[in-house]
Amino acid sequence: MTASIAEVESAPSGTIQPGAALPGALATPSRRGQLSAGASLLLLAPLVLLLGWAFFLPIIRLLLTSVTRPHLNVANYIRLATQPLYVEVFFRTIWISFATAVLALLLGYPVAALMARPGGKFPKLAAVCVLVPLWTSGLIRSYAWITLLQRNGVINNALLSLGVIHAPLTMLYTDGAVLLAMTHTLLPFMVLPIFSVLKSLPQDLPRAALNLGASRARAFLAVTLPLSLPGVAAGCLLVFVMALGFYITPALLGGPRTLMIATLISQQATEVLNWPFAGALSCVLLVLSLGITIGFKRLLRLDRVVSHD
Amino acid sequence: MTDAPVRPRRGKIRWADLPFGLLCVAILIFLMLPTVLIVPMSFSRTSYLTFPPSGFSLEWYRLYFGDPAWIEATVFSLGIAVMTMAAATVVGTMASVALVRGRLPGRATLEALLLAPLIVPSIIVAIAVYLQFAPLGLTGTRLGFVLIHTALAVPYVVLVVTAALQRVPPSLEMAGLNLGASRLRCFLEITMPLVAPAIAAGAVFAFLASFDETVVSFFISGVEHQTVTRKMFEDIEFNISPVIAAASTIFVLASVGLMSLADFSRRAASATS
Amino acid sequence: MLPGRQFFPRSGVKTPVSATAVIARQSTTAIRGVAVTVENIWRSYGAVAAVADVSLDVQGGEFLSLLGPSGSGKTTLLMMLAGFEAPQSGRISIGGRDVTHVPPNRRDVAMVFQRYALFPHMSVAQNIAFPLRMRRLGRAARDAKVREALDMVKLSGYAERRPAELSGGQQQRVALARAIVFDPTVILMDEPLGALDKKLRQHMQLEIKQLQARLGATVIYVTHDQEEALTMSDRVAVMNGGRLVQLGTPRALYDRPATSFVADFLGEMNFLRGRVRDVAAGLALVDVAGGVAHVRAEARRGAAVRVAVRPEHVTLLQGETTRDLTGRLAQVIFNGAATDVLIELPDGEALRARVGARSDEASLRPGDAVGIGWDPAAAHLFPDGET
Repeated sequence: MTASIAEVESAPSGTIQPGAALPGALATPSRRGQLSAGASLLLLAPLVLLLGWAFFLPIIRLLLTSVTRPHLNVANYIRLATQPLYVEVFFRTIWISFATAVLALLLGYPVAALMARPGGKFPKLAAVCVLVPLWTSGLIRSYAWITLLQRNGVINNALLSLGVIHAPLTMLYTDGAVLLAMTHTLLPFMVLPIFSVLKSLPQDLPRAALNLGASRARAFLAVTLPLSLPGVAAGCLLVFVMALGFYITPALLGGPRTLMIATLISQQATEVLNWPFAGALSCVLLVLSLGITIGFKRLLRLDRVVSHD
Repeated sequence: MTDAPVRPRRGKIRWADLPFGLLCVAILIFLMLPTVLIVPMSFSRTSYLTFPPSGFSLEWYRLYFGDPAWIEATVFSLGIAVMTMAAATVVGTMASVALVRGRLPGRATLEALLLAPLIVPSIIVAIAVYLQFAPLGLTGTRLGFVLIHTALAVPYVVLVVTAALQRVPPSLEMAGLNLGASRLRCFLEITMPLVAPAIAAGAVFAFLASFDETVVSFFISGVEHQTVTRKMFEDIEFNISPVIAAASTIFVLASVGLMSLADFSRRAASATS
Repeated sequence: MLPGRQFFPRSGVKTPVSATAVIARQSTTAIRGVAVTVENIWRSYGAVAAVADVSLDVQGGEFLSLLGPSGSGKTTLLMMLAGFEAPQSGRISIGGRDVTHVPPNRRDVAMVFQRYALFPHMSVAQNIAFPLRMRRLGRAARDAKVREALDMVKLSGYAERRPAELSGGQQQRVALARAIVFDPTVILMDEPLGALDKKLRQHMQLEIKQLQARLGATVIYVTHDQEEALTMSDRVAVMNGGRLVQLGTPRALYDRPATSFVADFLGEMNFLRGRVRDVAAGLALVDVAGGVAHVRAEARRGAAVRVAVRPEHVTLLQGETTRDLTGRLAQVIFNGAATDVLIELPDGEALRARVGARSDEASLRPGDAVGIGWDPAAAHLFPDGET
């Protein structure tokens, strides 16, 4: 949600990205810790207590209900794994998240490259175009997509009045709509890590390639692209993990046949009132998200991708 | 960057760049279009956006300001956001100081845990918190909202403030000590002023995190008190009307304005240090 | 800033009693004798001893340099003097007071940091006034002292500027002003000129030295630049591997180095390895490089030694001569102010000699055979294998 132009211009330091926050994010070289352990704990206490009670405890309890109601069992998980409906939801979510990441990469890399250019108005303009949507709430952005894609929406009206089509297209409430809107929402989270890495590459490297006879395209493919891969990996993982757990966009733009994990969880909790099962679904989602995040921690390499000295 | 490292002069157009440039322009339009489109929608005379746009009207704004449900929700959200901003900034700054300047066992795990709210999908948080708050009667109450919003907003403050604290060279505090200041004095007079812009930025992030928060707020809103995001969510689902566009335009402009301010102050601050 | 003027009120005019006045009783010129005593200081990090059993005294009003390569322990020692590190054993006394366990903000020493450590959010005047505020000096007195300090470092008129607006040299001077404004017992400097270019550095060396002389301040100065240490100091403490290797005046260190490390570290030195052939009446004859070297020193017959002689002490005679050591001229090196020649000795070793511009030596050309000699009293003998 939050990043700033200053960071974008001079390479992000402290850019905030959900899912990108991990051990090492605050890479502190310890300098003769000046506060005593007692004072440190005292300062930390309010936050620890707050998070403990309002965040961790509820989640742990939710996860527990998935195996303790009515008594200790794993029936929920078995159901989850065997019923085709639920398995389908999982695969659909993974598939859409994957597609979102790929699409975001294809669209995001050129923008990141543009932003990383040394000077001129374009990098700044690109930065604004990336950050303004980022600063807009996801809810409003989903609403904007509805107005674009609905039968009576901007795109249909434009195409109709230009005579390109003769009847409105059905775009809303499809997998495609969800994919498009999620790509749009998550695109900045792809752009920023890639930009960060590109910005930190020494200018001399591609210059050396050119000097040694490579064409610009070759210099890019052989030198810049491979060196930017850590940023690419970070962006893809970030977008993928965030897409997995997304609720707003699938809820508003998805139809009854495009259930994703998050909307399924909501449905189980609020309509079917099957909390233990919702807990089981949450557990799987959590394990998936955290597993990927922690498992690829090294790839996410926070100190290179997010903060930059 | 590296795509055109041997630009002859800044601003000169290289024709070989054109396809890349066009591609970028298309993507940038894709990025900006949805958000930008809300604005003319909120001013249109009709309840759908025609192309080319028709007429100009402030009807939807009138409806927004005249609707008690909208105003009440907005005021409620603002109140929560302000309280969250205060709480998150204080709690977050204290924690940042402890993390950067303190002696803590297992600091790495601690950091990871403190940033967890950014990683866990909000739907999970939403239903978990609902399960916890409902029996305690905290759903729909100001206290309940502020508690969970603060928990979700603090990581932003912590990230920003720790980054700023780390950028303060330790030699500055050493110099302060050497010149006779007590440790507390050093911190208050030397470190804090240098970190203040980051704290302000963190406060803005916390405010917006709370105001824009949708999923959890949806679940713990009650009959008497609902956030503006919940109202907006419901209206989009069941009652779509350009009043939403009017409200959205106002919120977007406010968000962008606030974020630009936070951004600007941070840039100004780092220029003098 | 002259202490006499401040602390002894003129007739009828009362000087406000302030913390500064109290501290000033220990101030620089008030100290006769020893200002700082370091006794058997040890400090280790893990298995590595950063400072090993160092003891020294610093006289009031003296300019003492701690000189050594990186890792020699000089900065650690300075940090212990300032109170940012604690010695694991030993004592430190400043101004007659045992400060070994006194926290850094109560020691009445001033530190000038390598990167100046000026407070970026305060103006120059506020930076300089900071220590006076900590000592609760009144507004009027503070302003007066700040102005004085600025005048001393020739930055009057810069009071309202911010550090970011100043050049490196100017920032340096503000850091200096901040250090002298409260009349500390000792001023510690941690390689303050490292970030400046050569010309500016030389200029600042002089300015610092003049300032110190004017104030009669006691200064302990850390540097790895031996030229800097030699030009500025009253005495130099050479450190290596955590130990104090030699302490003395620049001239003493240069002319009579105690170890081959000191001989090599200060100025330029030639080393020739050989074996003592004979010793008689204080003159040692050493077999080196296919010839014989004469050194005024005591030695055992047969000992493995290194002969050390400075390039400027070597004299050359053209042609094969009756001198005991000969070689062939390999290269002429023009240094601007001086000309050096590299001589190849029969066993392949090289000797560097400084040639006077107007002497016969100046007409030597590469390939010429030369006879090599020096005043035996100017050469040194060190055991081979010693560091």
